[in-house]
Amino acid sequence: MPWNLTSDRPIFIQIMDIISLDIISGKYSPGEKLPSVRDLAQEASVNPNTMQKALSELERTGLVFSQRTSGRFITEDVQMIEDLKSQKAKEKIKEFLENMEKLGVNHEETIALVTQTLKGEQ
Amino acid sequence: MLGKLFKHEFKETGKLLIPLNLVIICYTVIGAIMLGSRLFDDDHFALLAASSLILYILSIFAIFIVTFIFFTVRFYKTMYSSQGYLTHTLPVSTGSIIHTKVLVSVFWVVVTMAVTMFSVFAMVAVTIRTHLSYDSFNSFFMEFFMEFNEEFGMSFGSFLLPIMLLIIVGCFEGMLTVYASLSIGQLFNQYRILAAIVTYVIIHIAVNIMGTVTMFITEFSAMDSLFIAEEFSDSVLGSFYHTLFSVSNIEHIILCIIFYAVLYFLTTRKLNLE
Amino acid sequence: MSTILECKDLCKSYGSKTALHNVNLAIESGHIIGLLGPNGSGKTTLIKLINGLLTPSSGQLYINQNPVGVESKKIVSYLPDHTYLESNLRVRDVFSYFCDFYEDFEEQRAYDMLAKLNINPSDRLKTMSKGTKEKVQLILVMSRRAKLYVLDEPIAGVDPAARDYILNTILSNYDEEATILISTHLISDIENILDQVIFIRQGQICLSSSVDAIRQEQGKSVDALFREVFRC
Repeated sequence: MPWNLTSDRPIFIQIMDIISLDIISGKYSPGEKLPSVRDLAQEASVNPNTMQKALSELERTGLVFSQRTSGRFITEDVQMIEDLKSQKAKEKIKEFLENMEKLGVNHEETIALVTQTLKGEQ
Repeated sequence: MLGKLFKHEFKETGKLLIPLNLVIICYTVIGAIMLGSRLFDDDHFALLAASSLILYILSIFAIFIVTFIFFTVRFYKTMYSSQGYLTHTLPVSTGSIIHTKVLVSVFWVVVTMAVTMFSVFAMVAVTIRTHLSYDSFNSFFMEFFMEFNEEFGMSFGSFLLPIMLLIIVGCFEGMLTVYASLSIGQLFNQYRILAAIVTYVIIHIAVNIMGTVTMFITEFSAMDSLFIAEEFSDSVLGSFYHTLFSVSNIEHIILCIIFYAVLYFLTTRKLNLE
Repeated sequence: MSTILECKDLCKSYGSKTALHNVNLAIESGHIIGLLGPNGSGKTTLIKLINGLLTPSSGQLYINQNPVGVESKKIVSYLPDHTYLESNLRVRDVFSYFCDFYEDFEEQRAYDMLAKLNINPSDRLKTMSKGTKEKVQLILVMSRRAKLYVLDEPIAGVDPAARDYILNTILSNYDEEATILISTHLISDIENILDQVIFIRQGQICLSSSVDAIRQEQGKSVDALFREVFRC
């Protein structure tokens, strides 16, 4: 199943986002070994060079690290993953709040609606 | 790599040429049995004998025409049609591809010729054996060779040799004319097959005219020596015969070399597949 | 990184019709490159020149520093845009033919791929559907360990499932040092596997760039850029 990539942004950036998300969400646990570039490229249906570039960029952020012989691993720095998680979460909330404002719902009303929805779900 | 090209070419062409030659051999065996059993001596079987002979001759002709067309079509298909995409992307030199195509096709034509000759010879031999009152098979031929020698002033072998050579050269020339014409046809941007056919016809006519002209010139100049000779001796006739065939052979060998050069040059330097 | 393919002032004309005009191009090894252009723009002409099926009218062409010839043909694996195998042959025969002539042909890999598709090696090509025949040809081409793969319209006229299979086969057999040149006009389908693109129009190269650069600088996909550049 090819990954869902859009057409307007460089592919390696989209791949970075997808892998970061997988790390945050726990699909990959800290210290876990990543599949090889070739396997990941095939899974995503992208050029191995592009996958290579995405992983190198991720290495620069520190989210993954490579050991010369044995491949690439997810960082063991749990704090870093947590930080990234809250950063991403904040981004999503901001985006959500902006969308609500566009609908004409102010922050207080939004919180009320969120609480109500959550109760409804229970 | 040349060896592999030969191997595959033989394999692919043998699929048709081996059965064709087996057909000739079968005919020969059946014919020899019929002739040997004196079946045709009975007048009732005269019609059967005549029609068998006609069928035999027609079949041999058909086999040669099929062989000729097969190699023509095969050359076109593997060199210039979509299959040419494979032929010309093999990591072998264009020269070795051409050598293979020419040599393998000529090989088969010569083999078919030889088998046909053997077939005719075998039938004649069986007829002689069953119908003529010779003590032995050998003595007939001994007598024939001797008489031939006395009559024409040369051995049967030296009579046959230039003819054999001409047949082999003729096989080369026959195939090379076709291949060269096809390669010339490829120079055109459109109607390449038509261009090849027209080229073939032109070459064919030109070669025939040239052959006739050379023949005339040789005959005239050789004829002089015939008249100059005080006595119309056998040896003069022999040398006349040999001059005629030598000139003819040299002429056709030169033509073969020219056609080969054209084919080689156009395929290595001017290849443009559609 | 070395230059795998280089064209210098390459021209090709058929009679009075010009198919390629002064093409200058250098391709580094280790990339998957899309050769993109509308029909009749000169893609196939360039590909046939690379494979020695056409003779240039003028200019030079080098593959791995060699002119087109025996040496170049050893390292180029070519998929034409039509079937080029004799239809009477069995798949097995074709494999052994490739095995004989191409030192880099890995027969076992070819048989493995065949098995995955449930194609019987004793089947004759003429009994196969067009799609199956195309897959067999792709298997032949991708089973070679070539330095340069040249694929002419590999995904034209096949259904989406077959297209996925083809792209997957290309990716899974590609080794990072090799170079793949894919010609197509169906860009959106293969955009993700390309890292460079060459736009060709009326026999001339009008753009040669990396896919990331196009997306980053123009903020649009190659497909969108193509539609813009070649708008009728």
